[in-house]
Amino acid sequence: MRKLFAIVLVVFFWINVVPPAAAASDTHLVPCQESAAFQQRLQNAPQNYYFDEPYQAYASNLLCGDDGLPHLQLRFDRALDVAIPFAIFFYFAGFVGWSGRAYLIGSKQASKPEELEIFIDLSLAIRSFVQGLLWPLLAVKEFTSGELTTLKNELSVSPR
Amino acid sequence: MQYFSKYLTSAPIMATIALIVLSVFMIELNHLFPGLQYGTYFH
Repeated sequence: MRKLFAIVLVVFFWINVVPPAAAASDTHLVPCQESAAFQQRLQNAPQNYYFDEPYQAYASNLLCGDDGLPHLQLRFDRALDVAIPFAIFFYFAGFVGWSGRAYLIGSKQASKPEELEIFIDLSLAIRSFVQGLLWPLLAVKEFTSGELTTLKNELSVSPR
Repeated sequence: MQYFSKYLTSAPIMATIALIVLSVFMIELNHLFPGLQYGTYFH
């Protein structure tokens, strides 16, 4: 069942079905275009690029609540609204973490590792960034080869 | 000159440069894909 669900999800993402904004029957959300509170905000907003562009996008695509602001629904057929920003965040967080880790591992091979934390070694940093970009692949590789994890008895534990 | 280039690689200077580069990248991203920040780009 879980496999089936995963396959359905992948197919759904693959064909990239994004229906226009329409509220489910059990919600108070309405398309922003039809929300009185949203129209009120629209009229009170300053008329310039930084307000016009977002308000146009909200009006044509998103659902608004009683407060007249756009809200996301946690619904399967709107899964991409949540999945894409989460995927971007997850990849970026992984990139930051993996680059830092790669830099620290690389700096341990230098004669003065602590100096490389104060004065950045640019060539090592750039190599670390490149590794960071590939972090999902490297994480799988290190996990399967056992580099990513360690044995429980090798972990240092504070005295109890 | 040698000391100046070493000073430029010190962590606070590098962090500032990285922040500026990231800001320029984000601003350009918004310029190339307008609407990305409104959560409506993929509709």
